[in-house]
Amino acid sequence: MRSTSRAVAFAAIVLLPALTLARADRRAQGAAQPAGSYTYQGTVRAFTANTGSLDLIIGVGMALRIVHVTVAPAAHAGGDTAAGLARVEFKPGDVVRVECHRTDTGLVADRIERIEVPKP
Amino acid sequence: MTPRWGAVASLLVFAGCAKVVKPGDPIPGLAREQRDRFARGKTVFDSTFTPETGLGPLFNSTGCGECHEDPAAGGRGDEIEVHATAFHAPTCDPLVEEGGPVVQQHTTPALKQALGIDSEPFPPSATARAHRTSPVVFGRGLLDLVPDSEILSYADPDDRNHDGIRGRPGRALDGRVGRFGRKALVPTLREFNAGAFPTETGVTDPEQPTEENIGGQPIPPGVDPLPEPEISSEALALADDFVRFLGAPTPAKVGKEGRRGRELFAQLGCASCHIPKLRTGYSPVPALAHREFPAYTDLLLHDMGPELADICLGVATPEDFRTEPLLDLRDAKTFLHDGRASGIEQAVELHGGEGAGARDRFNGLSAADRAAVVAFLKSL
Repeated sequence: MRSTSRAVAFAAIVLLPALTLARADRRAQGAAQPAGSYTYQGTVRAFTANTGSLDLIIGVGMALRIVHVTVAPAAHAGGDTAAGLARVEFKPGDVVRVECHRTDTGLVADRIERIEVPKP
Repeated sequence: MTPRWGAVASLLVFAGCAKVVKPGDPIPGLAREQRDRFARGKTVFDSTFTPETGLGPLFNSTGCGECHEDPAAGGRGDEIEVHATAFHAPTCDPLVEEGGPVVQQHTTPALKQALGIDSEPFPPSATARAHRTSPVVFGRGLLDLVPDSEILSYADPDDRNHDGIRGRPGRALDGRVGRFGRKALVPTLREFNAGAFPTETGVTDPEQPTEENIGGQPIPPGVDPLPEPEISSEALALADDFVRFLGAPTPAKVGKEGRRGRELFAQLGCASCHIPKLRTGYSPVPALAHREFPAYTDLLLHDMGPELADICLGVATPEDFRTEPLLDLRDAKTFLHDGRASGIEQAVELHGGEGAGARDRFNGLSAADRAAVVAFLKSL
């Protein structure tokens, strides 16, 4: 009985706000930045220069996810033009910041910047 | 009253005000509103999720309190997790496309019916498997506030002081200094907690609103019908506040033997990594700000040798582990990251790599002195 009461109380505290606030959260996020514009900072898992395919590992705590980004011709890499991006050759383990937008075929990078992680 | 007696009286008053923090207690000095959030957050922490409230479809536990329960909410659990990654030196692949580094050990009935599996498939590309116990989360709000600059000040990757200790900071995937997790991958407590809901219970939250894949495969239709995120921002914030406000247990008073053990702990070099006290920086919560607290960690990664090596994660190699904070050791029944040691002496003896020097000095002590070190550690 005690556990049932606790479960009901928990549902009231947690679940109902979750259902009602989720849509509001999405609206708020949408208002914070231009529609379809995203910024990710993470570690490069794979980069194929000739196809412009970039797999970025991002995460919240131990909940890691992969973001697939196509590098657009106009993207910049640390101040270089994208023409130079193919020459940049991001490698697995590099930390990068990617600004991108969503298209029908997925995320397309507008700008990529390599982040230098300081050595201790 | 003479100045001398005045000083003694002040000391006694101060000592009387220094509240002893027991395991599971909140940090002393919280405001009423913060104590209220601690209590409400404990309700979320102790709650049990079901598939109807967001559990799964993959999970390790039905709630935070299932694995952090002994001797109080926020303590240890007897569950053992399975983690896996692939190390291709010098880079580490956390195998996100194969389900990620945490291999969940349970499935909801709906997922079992759909795929016929009782746990997440072990990632085929893994180069190593690791077991992980559930540590206490006491004092984590204090550890969260230790400035990066203090952590970095303990780093000595080139062993310039020639003490054999080469601590270096863990790094998050975006390059920030990491401090949480056995491999120091996670930079903040908030992120650790927000990631733990989906990773451990399969409950998505506003900060990680996407479910993990099933060993690399998408979730079958109809298996996880609850819309994301499955808990609200407020529920996440309450659980986060509960963990954040859990105090670091006050070490017990020690007698002559324990005092001798404490001296030896420093002399042996244990305290080079298990730094007894750390200090927090600024916090909007006065009870957390600029506090010195028992930590017994430097929050850095250290090479612990091939015997303990398991998985890589972030910049941590298989041999690297973040110095475990020695909090609430008095209640521990197993030791080390995977629980392989059944006693403190065995845990010390299993230290390799950078810990080998302190271990050898410990082994060279008389039986009485070893017992003194153990007595001291059991006071923590």
